[in-house]
Amino acid sequence: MLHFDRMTLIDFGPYKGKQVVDFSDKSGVSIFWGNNGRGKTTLLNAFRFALFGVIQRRNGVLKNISEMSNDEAKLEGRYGFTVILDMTNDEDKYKLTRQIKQRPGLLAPGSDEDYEKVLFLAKNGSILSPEDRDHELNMIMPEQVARFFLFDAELLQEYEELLETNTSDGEQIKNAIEKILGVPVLQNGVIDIEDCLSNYEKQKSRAARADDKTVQLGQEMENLTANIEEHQNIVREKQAELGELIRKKQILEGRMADTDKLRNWIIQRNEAQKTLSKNEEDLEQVQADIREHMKNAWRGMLLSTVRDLREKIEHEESVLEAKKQKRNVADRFIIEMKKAITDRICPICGQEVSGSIIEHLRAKIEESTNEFSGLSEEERQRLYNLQGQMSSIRQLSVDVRDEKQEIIYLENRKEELQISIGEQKQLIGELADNIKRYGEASEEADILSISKDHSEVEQNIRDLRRGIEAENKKLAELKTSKEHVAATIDKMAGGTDYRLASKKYELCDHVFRIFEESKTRYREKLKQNVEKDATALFVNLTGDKDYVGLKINDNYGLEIIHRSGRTVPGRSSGYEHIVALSLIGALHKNAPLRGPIIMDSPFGRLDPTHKANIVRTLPDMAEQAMLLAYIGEIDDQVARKELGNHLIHEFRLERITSMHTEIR
Amino acid sequence: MTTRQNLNELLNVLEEIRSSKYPDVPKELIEQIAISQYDNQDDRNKARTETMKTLADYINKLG
Repeated sequence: MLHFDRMTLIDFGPYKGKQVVDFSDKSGVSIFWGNNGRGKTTLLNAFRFALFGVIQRRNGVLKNISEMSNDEAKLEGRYGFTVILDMTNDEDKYKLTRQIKQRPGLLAPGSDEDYEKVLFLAKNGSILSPEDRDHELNMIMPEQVARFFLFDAELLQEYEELLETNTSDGEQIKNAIEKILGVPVLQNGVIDIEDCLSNYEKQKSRAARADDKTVQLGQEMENLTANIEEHQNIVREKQAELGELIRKKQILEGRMADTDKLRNWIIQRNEAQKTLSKNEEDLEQVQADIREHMKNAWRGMLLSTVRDLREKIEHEESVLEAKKQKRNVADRFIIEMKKAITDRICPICGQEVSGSIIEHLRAKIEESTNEFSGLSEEERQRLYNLQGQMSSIRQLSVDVRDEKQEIIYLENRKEELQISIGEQKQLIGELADNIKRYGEASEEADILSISKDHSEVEQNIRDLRRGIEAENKKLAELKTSKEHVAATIDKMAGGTDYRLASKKYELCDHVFRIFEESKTRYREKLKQNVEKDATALFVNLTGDKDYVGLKINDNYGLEIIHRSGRTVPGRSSGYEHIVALSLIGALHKNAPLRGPIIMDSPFGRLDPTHKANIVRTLPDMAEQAMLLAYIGEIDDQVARKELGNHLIHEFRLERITSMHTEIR
Repeated sequence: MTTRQNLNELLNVLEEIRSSKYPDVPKELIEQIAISQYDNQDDRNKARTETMKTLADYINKLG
């Protein structure tokens, strides 16, 4: 079992100068208290750096590792940094030294090229060769399983991927789980023994061919074996291709996450450019429409003046017409009166008209002649002129629309478009600045092609999986045929060579079957054990009596079981952490590879009760646990009470300056 | 080399199958192959070579 004894940091991140942390050789929990920015995550990274040579940041692995040099040390002329990790694994003592060292002859190194990487591993006092060093490190702590030893809240959140099927993250975690549990020992054993088996099978076929009784069957057997080998090779090639594609998919997903912001900016900028072009086209059209409308607009604008004038003329014309009409009526009346005077008979009733009435009629004729004198010559001329003017005015009003509303609408639209164009130009400028600043040397076309490439890779993965399935089906058929032929040969062949070859094959076949059958049984057993141990931890961690356990799926994903027997859907982020911690604890109990757990602010959104439960459960999760927490993340009194004798040591990350933290 | 005390669970499963179904196979052969695979998880070629040699050494004794 791996145990960290001591860590020495020299100018690593905020840990200026030489600082030694003694973890003690006792089992239990150490807590590192430190506020934000004091270097808790850097401490977690110190372990990662020592073991794997990488620094993990929120947005991925740190590219320029020399950035971890302490800034104050650089001002004092010390460049580079060192992490030394003293460890015990079973009975062996290890001293791992990893250093980023300034190249000789450089006064002020800048990029990573100005530094050299130094790595030593001493085992029981002897420095190992590079080959042995790498092998030992891989055995002590393979990087693929680091997630179960060094983690933070974000990493815990990823375990929910195990509940999904066929996600590359889920597949990656599942492989890591199987790796820590030792499943590859059996998987690889099966592959290698199968190769041996194939050799013994060939020997057996050759012996059958050499036997008079089974020449033909031996030939058939060889053909089938060759055919099977061919399909096995195809499957291997496809599996290698699949592995490559899965890696490619993971890289693309990593790049997608890394360039997410940048890609969105590029997409937004391209959209803004499209909108700008469309706005500019629309503006051109609106301006053309306005020009067209303005051609006839003067007529529209004169409409009210024309209307006033027309009303005035119509009024004057009607007055003159009325006067003219009255004269006509008066003329007809005078003619009737004069006829009555001449005939002395009323033209209406036919009665005789008296002399007094005649006198009265003569007076009326006189009166009407004076009163309805009709139009004067001047008035007649005026009426004629007015009628002419009316005709012209009517001509002026024909087909004239009021363009005002249309022009107002177009002017408003023009203004809107001009504002939008201004906004789009501003947005494009801002996005272009962002792209330039954060995009560095990235090719835009490459960034945009990532999601397209990702879809293609996903499709290829699906096709390959179907292909492998079809090949495996074919292989199963061929193997059945081969078994029939082999059984027939066994009955018929009688030669000593064949018997010996057959015996060798049989032994190898049994070894193969032991590994093959153990692979399935070991997996099942592990799942049962992991489910049982995870449940025990979970029940302690949750404290909710309604939740009675966890159920494991084929991906090692764990679902919460309600006491009704149902699985609990849509669990919270806090519960996700609890389930993930339960899984990690269970893996540590069941894995051939065991070691310390180092957790950086793992509590996420958990409430104080669950935080206390986690602290209490830590000693059950691993023999050595280290908790990096900010002050107040958990109550120190609660932590001490819950851990009791399991609390070995408390360290404080104390601020000296903004670039200098001391571990005390 | 790492001691393999934690490999017991895996070895127990192999032994269960061997003893119940394939007792003709020596226990040591299975353990030796499992340990070769475990000790060389970072080196597939070495694991394969050691496995094949272990198997061949046992099987060829039959002849």
